[in-house]
Amino acid sequence: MTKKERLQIEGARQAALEQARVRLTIVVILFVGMFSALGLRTIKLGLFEHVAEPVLAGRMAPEPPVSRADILDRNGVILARSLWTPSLYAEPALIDDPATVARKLALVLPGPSVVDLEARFAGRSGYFRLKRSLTPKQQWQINAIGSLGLKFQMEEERVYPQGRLAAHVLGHVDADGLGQYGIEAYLDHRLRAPELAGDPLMLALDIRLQHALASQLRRAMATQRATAAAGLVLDVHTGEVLAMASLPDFDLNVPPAGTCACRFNHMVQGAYEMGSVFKTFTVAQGLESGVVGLGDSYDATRPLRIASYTINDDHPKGRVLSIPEIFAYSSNIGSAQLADQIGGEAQRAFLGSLGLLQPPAIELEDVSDPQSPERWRRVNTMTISYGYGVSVSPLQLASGVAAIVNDGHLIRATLVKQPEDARIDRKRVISAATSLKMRRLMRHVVEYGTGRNADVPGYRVGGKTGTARKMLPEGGYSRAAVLSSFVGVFPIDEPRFLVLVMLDEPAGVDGTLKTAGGGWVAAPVAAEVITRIAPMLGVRPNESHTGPMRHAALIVNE
Amino acid sequence: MSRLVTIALVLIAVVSGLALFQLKHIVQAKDAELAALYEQMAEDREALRVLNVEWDYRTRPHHLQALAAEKLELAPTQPAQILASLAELPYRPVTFEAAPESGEGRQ
Repeated sequence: MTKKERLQIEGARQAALEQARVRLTIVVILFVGMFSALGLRTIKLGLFEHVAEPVLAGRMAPEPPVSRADILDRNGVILARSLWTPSLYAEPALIDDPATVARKLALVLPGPSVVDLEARFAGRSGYFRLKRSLTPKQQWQINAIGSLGLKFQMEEERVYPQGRLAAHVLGHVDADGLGQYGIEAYLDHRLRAPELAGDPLMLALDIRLQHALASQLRRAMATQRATAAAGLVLDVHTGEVLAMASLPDFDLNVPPAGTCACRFNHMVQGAYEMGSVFKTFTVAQGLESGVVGLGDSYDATRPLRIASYTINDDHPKGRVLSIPEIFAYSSNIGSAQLADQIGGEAQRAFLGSLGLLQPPAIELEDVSDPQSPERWRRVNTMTISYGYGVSVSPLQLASGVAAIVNDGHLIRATLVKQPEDARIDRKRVISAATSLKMRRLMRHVVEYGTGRNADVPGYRVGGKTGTARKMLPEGGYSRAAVLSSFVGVFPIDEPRFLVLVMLDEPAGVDGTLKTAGGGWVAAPVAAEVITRIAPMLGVRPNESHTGPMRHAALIVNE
Repeated sequence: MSRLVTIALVLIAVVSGLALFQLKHIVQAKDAELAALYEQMAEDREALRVLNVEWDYRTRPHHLQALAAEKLELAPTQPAQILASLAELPYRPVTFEAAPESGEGRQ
């Protein structure tokens, strides 16, 4: 009541008061509205919108710590990895007592001498690197010297924990971290791509197989006093190179400077006349084209004269030989006649379809160019039939032989691991039926022919030996220097893996040509390699080697 | 009445202000903790990378083979040591001494 009265009493100012109240109400409503909006927004941000979390999650994601991707083997064993290591830099202007610092530093660093260091500090100018990749202990000791002029800088260092293994395949990087050789050079862009730095590159290599192959080759090279040795294990169905070794080799952590014979990868950088291993292709073509059948034979009683050449047999039988015999005893005379019947043009086309006349496509640099005669004369056809006149890299030869045994599909050899479901490009070169015949012939070589030393009971090895006289620089062929090789496939009844072994200029058992032949020198190495790697590859021995002795050995009788 | 409301509002304002201040400090502490954790993780990850290399270096096949040759009496597996199937295992031979143990009923 009083209020009303007061309002009435002060009636004269009623209008002004009323106006003020309305204004006040509007302001209050505005403020209430704004603050409610703020409050609602706060609640919404806090409870319903996840603004902060995605940002935090982004910070969680592991950033690739280095600029170059790892290289792993097919089972994830580290072959190459970049690590941050401290490097030592020197700034002579800040070194008070160069003589003392040099003396103390020489005690810590294995490399430079006191005189050396003093001379470098004496320059009194510049800022230069003294040593890369210090160990934590060295770093601590250098810190303890306490000179302002010695500084550390973290730098990326490429480490190869496997040292010498697969050195030619992996390659290395230079001081700036650029690939210089092997896969490191060929796939440099892939390895340096920032978006792939955390994504390791998986090679087809299996380091266990690589070791088995390399160590057997090393032993053979020493006992045979060969100048070089090389080998390869290939999956004949995927083209994956499971092991590739070339000796002499080098340690990737201390790559040799300049040109060194040890940097030469005989498997891909060399082009060789491979010798009798080529008969695999000659006989395969003969059977495929229908020129001959397994029952046909050629006269190998006496050497063959063509133009100014004489074709001889290394293992002369002096009689008529059937096709399996020509292959098993590696008769040059027989295969030359077969090739002559096939014809030069057809031979060239067939070798071309096997990829033997173009450089192979593999993820390595400096792949050798195969050499073949410009004019494919009759005599060329005949000598090429047993592996003289066409030079190829051993890798190409392996791919070609793989195509002959795997039902006739040529598959590109690769050093990069293929996914399980990968669609593999295959090109048919011979029929499955011919491939089966060739597998039987190759088994025949190991059972009864020149490749007997390659047999491993139970693993059904098939293969072909090769002994090529090396061409002399002044022309003609050497009598003593040979390239001995063996290409083996196992298990031959269901081919899965190919093993190629090659020894350059083996001295042989007593220095004669005959005992330095592929069957005596390379085949036993292949057998050793297969014995070691077959269990790792899950190849089961069959029961062909069971007999009463083994039966007795298995009997448990306490 | 209106005085009560005013006091309540002031109280709420003070309390919420204090709470906000407290919350800010907690968040800052958590942030610092998080940053430290990230740093630790990065360090651990780098250490792991080094250790993995070290492991693969110490278990390189060449080294293992040398160790095995020195310490173990093992050689590469020969095919004759691998059984292709269980059927290859011969039955235990029935010898004269073994026969009575197998049961009296047979005699």
